[in-house]
Amino acid sequence: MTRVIGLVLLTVLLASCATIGQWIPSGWDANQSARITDIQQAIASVNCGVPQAAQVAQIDLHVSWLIIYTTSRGVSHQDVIRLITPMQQTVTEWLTRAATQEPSRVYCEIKQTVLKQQALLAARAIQGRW
Amino acid sequence: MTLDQLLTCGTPWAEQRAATAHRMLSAHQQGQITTDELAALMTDLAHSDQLNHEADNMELKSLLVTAIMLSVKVI
Repeated sequence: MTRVIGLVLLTVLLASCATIGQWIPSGWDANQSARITDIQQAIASVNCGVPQAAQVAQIDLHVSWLIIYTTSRGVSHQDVIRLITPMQQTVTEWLTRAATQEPSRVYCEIKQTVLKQQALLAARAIQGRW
Repeated sequence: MTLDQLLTCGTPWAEQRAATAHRMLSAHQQGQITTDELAALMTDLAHSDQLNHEADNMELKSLLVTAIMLSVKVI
């Protein structure tokens, strides 16, 4: 009974400001947690001294996987979509640029730094859930 | 507040963001990145702010769930 009361309270609290789908937090997901670590590893392993396109494509592959998987999980995981979308935009810009012309080494190093910071924030949010 | 002041403002995320912006501008001034690359990297900082906001929201909601679950156990 107390669990039911708790769940009702939780739902009312989280649904009071907007639609339920937007406000109910997603729960723990082992696949999402593993994939965000893959993303962090792919970003960390980028070597700006060699051609970037294939390396960025690897990061993009992981990010796309996470987006597709999370979309399939349904409306209760919309918070993860909103979390990952800015990182996807950062990666897509790099991928598009590297596909046409090799970006400068310093651009690559700064991009890697920005993505490391983004991925760390995302990982803490995704892996810190119940 | 200038970028230099933000570098030592005492707020970790702001200092980190300011250091990255400072590095971008320095690299551009030294001709290490193009104007187009600089614009793209600055846009990435805006993306980081969006991500930061969403991450904070998720952490707060997770804390709320934890607090409610603990309350339910006490009841």
